[in-house]
Amino acid sequence: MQSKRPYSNNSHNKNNRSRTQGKSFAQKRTIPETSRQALKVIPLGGLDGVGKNMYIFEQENDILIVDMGLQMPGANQPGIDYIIPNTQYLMDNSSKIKGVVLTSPHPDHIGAVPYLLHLFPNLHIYATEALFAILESRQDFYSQGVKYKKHIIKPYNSIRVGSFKMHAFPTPFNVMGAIGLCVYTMQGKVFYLSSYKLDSESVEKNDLLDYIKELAGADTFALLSGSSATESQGFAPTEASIAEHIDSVIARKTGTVFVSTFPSMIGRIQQIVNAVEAHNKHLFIEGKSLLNTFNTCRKKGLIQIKSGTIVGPSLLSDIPKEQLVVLISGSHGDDIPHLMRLANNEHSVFSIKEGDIVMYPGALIPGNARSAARVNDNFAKLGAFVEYYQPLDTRFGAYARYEDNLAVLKAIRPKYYIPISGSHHLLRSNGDIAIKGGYPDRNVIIGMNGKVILFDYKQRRITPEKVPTANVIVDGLGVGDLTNVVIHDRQTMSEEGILHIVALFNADTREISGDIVVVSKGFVDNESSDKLFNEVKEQTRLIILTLLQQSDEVNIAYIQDEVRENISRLLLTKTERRPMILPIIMNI
Amino acid sequence: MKSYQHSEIKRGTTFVTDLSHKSNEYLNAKEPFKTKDNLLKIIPLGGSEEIGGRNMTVIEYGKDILVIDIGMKFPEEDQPGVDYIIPNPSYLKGKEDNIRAVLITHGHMDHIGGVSQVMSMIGNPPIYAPALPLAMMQRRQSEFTTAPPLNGKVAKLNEKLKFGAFTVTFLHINHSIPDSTMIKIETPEGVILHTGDFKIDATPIGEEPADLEMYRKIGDEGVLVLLSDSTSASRPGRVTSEMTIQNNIDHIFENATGKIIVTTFSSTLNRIQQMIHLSEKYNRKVVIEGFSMKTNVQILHEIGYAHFSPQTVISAQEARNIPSENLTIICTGAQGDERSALTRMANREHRNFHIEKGDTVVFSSSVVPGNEESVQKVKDAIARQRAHIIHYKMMEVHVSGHAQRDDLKQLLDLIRPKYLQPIYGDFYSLKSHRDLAIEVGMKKDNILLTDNGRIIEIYKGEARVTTEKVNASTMMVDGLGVGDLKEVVIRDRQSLAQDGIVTIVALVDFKQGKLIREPEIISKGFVHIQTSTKLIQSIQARVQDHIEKKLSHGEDQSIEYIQQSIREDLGLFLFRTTHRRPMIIPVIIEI
Repeated sequence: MQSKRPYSNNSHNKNNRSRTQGKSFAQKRTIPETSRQALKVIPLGGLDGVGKNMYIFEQENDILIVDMGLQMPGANQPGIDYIIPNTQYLMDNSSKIKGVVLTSPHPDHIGAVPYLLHLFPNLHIYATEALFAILESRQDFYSQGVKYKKHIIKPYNSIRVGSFKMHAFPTPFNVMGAIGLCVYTMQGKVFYLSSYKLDSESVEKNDLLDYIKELAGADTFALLSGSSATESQGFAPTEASIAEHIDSVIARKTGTVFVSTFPSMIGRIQQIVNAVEAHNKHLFIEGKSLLNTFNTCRKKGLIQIKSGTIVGPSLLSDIPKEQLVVLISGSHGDDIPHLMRLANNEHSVFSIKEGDIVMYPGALIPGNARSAARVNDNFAKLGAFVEYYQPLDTRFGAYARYEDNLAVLKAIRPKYYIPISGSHHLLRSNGDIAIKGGYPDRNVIIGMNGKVILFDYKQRRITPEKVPTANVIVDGLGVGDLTNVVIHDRQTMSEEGILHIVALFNADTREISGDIVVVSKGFVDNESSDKLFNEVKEQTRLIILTLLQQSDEVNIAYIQDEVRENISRLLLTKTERRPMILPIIMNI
Repeated sequence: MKSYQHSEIKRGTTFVTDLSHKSNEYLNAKEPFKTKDNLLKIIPLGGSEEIGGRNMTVIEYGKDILVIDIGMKFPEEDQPGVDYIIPNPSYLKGKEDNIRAVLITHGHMDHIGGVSQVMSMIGNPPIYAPALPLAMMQRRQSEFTTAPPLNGKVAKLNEKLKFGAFTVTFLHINHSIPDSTMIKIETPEGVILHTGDFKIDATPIGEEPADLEMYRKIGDEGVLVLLSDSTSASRPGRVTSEMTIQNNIDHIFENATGKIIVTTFSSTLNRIQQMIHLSEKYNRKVVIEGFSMKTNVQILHEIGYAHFSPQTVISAQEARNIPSENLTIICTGAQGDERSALTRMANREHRNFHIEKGDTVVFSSSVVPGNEESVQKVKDAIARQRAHIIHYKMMEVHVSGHAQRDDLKQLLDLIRPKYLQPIYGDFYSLKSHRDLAIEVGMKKDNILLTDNGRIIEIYKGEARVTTEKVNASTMMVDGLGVGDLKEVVIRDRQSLAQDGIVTIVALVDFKQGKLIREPEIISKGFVHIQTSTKLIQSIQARVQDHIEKKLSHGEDQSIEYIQQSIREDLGLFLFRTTHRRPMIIPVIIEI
C-alpha cells in the first residue's frame, strides 16, 4: 500500500515501506527485540519548557549527542543557578558516545557543556567556528579547565560521527553559528532544526527552504522541529526589520545610546556596529565577556568593523555624548552587571544623563518580571528614554513562529514529525500544524524528556523505557548535589520563616537545665514577639517535662516530634502562619 | 565601591537600588507654600510609583477630608509569604473627625480590598459607592468578623453630594466591571477630576459607551487637576473595543464541538456576562466555578444587574446530565493557580468536570507578570488532555480595562485640565503619561509626578509637588497579623529562600573554658545532610576549633562575641568551599 504523504505534490513516493507489516506488529502488542536497524531518539531535555536542549540519537553501538543546554530556574526553585540535563543514561553507555554536535551558541543549547565535559572528558565536539568562538570565550568554560576534541563544521559540508553521516547547514537565526542538521540514520534521513527562522515574510525564494527541500527529497524519515514560538502567528521578524529598528534608535541624537545584548549574539552585535558606523558614531564596549567574544570574533573575521569605530577608555572623554554608543553587558554571563550598575547610578565610568537612551531586552533576570520593571523605573528616574526591545534577547522574536514551522514542514515532508524545544502545550500546538495538514495522529510524536522514541522495522513507538531525567541542579560550586528536599525546605522557609527551639535536659534528674532558647528568622520580628516566644517556651517546657516523666526510656526523636507538632499548632492559632519548626533537644 | 558576586546578581531579587532618596530631584519637588490660609492638598497614600494596587488618595481642604478608594495589592516576588498589602492610613490618625466620606470608584480589589482593615483604623466614616462595589464591599466585610459594619451609601450617577467644602459627582466611565465611575470634586480651589480605572470604548458590551460629550462639557467648565489612570500609558494606540472581543469569542462558540471553558479574572464581570450571553445564543448552559467568581455573579443577581435568564446559570450537579456541546464553564485559574478549578479540571482532579479531548479552553485574560511559569504549567496540563487552547497571543480574546496612549490623549483633549497628575503605575508609566501629555501640548511644569505619601498643594490656582511627605509605607497582612511584618523579617525570608540556613548549637562551660561536647550542626535548605557528611564534619571541626581557640584566648568571652565570630568565620569558609551563603545561626549555651 502506497501512502501519500501530506503536503506532497508528487505522486511518486520512494518510500515503499508497507504499512500492513507495521500494523501486524502493532496488533501483537508485544515489545519486539530491536533490530540492527533500530534508531533510538532520546530527548534528555528540551521537552519541558525553554532550555536544556539535549537529544540523543542511538543506533547499534553508536550514540550521537545533539546539543547540551541549560535551563534557568523557575520561580519555585529559589536560590539555584541553573538546571542541566541528567546524563545518567550516557554515563551508563559512555563507550558508545561518538561525539556531540552543537547547533546554537545560546545557553539553552550549549550552557551545560562546561559541566558535562567533566563527566565526559575528551569528548568530540562538532560545531561551527563562530560557535566555538563564543563557547571558548565564556568564563565558566575557562574556569572549569576542561579538555575536549574540537572539530570545526564548515557550513554545507558533510561530517561523520561514528556511524552517523550528516549534513550541517546554517539556519537564519538571531545569531551566527547556528546550524540545522540532516542526519543519515539507518532508518532514513532525520532533520534536526531547533533554532531557526525563515527570515522572510514569505516562502518564495527562500534559501533555507530551497536547500532543505532538495536535501529532503521525498523520503525523509523524521523532522525534529523547534516549538518555542509556535503559538505566535505569522513569521518570525526578519533580521532586516530588526536591524532597521536598531538603526533608528542608534540614530537618535539626544544623548548617549546604551545598548545591551548578550555575548552570544554576534549577529546582533554586527547590526549594532553597522548602525554605529552608518551614523558616524563611536562604539565603546563595557563588559568583559562581551569584549572577549567581540575580540575573538573580530580576529576570526566573524565581525566586520572599521578601525576607527571602536574607542578605548582613554578616548572616551573626547567624544561628545551624542556621538557615543555604549555596548554594555546585562546580567547574564559571568560579567559584572554593568547595565544594572548603570540603572543603580553606581557605574564607575558612566552615569545616565537627561536625554540618554537605554535599549535593552527587558527581563534582566529570568523569571523576575517585577525587578525588570524596577530597572525600567530607575532608568526613567535618572532621565533616560527606555527602549525595551525583545529581539536583543536570545529567545524572543528569533525562533520559528507558526508560518515558519509550517513552511519547513511542507518543504521536508517527513514521515514523522517530532516537535521539540518547548513545554508540552507548545509541542502540541506545533504538532497540530501537522495534524491540520493531514498527518495521521500516530505520525506526530509528542515526546517527553527521557522517554525513548524507538524506530524499528517499519513502525515507531514511544517505548515504556525511560531513562533518568531528574533535574541536575547547579548551585554555587556544586553540580547535582541539591536534592528536592533542600529546594523544598528553601521554599517553605521563604514562605513563613523558621523557628528554632533549643532545650537541654538532664536524663538522670528528669529536669530541664537552663533556659529554653527560641530563635526565629523570617517568621515574626524577634524583638516585638516576647509574649509569643514566652508561650512557645512555656509549652515546650511542659511537653518535655511530661514526656520525661511518662516513661523510663528517653526518646529524643519522639520528644522533638511532639514539640514540633504542638508548637506548630500553637503558632497556627496565634498567628495563622506555619513556619518551619526546628526543635533541638539535647541531653547533657 | 560595591562589588557584586556573580551568584548574587543572577539570583538576587533586591539588588535594584532604590532611588527614592533622589525623589525630590527627579520629581522636581518644591518647597510648600508659606501661608496660613486653607489650601487644597492631594496626597496619594498608595497607587503612585507602584503597579497594581492599594490605591488610596486623600483630598484635604481645611477641616474637610475625602478619601478616594482603599485598595489592596498582592505581594511582589521579593515579599515571600505575605498575604497582601494595604495602604497605611497613619496620616489620618487624629483627623478621623475631619473625614467627610470615603468614595469608591469601582469594585476591583485594588480599589476596595483594603476597606475591611483600614475603615476601622480611620473611624469608620460613611462610605459612598455605586451599587455594585458597595454590595461587594459589604459581602467582604461580612467575612471579617472583627470589622464593624460599613456605613455604606449608594452613590447615584450624576447626583451632587455635598461634603463640607466639597461637592462630589460620580460619573460614568468604561472599564471592565459594571458601575465603574470617575469622580468629579468641586473644591474652593477648582475642580478635581479623578478617573479611577478607565478606558474609552465606543462599542462596549453590557454598558453605555463613554460619554465623550459629557467629558467635553466638564472640560469647558474648567478642570484644575485631572488625576488620570496611567496603567497602560506606555502602550501605544488604543484599547481594542469589547465588541471585537465579543465577535472573536462568538466565532469560537460557533465552531466549538465539546465543552467550552472560559477562564478569566473573577472580577471582570463584564466579560463574564458576555460569556453568559454567548452561551444563551449558542444554546449552552453555564456553570460558574471558583468561589470568588461565584460570589461576584451572585451579587450581580442580588442587585438586579444580571442581564441573563436565571435558567442559564446552573449548578455543577445539574450540569451532569447536559451534553458537552451544550455546556460552558466559566472559571477562575487563568493565572495557573494550583488550587483553582481550571487546574483541577485539567488534571482530572475536579469533582464535577474534567477537561477532555475536543473541549475548547479560552484564556480570556492576560498573564500577570511573575505568573508565566504557572500559566505554562496549566496549559501543558490542558494540552495533555488534547483540548484546544486559545489565548491572547493567538487571537484577541482579552483586552485590558485601561486606556492606552491614544485614549489618554483623547481624554486630555476633551478635559483640557490645567494640571495633570498621572496616577496608578510605576514611575516609568507615570513618566510615559507625562510624555504623552507634553505631546498634546501640556507644559512640563503642569504635570504633577508624585510618589506615595507626597503632598501636592494647590493655592490660588497654582499646584506644587512639595518636598513634604507623610507616612505611606506598606502594611503587610500575613495570617492574622496586620502591619506587624517588618522589612527585616521579609529580608530574612528572602535569604532563607536563596541558600538556606545552618544552625550550630554549642554547649560551653565558660568557667573551665571548654566545649561540653561536639557542636551540633543542623542545616535546612543548604545542603542535604545525609549526602554531605564530609562537609558537615568539616563545619563541625571548624566550629569546634574556632570556639576552643576563642575560649583559650581568654579575652572577651561573651556569648555574643563568640556567636558573631563563628558567623563570620563559617560564612567565609562556606562561601569559599560551596559558593553559597546560607544564613548562619550560632546558638551558644552556657552550662
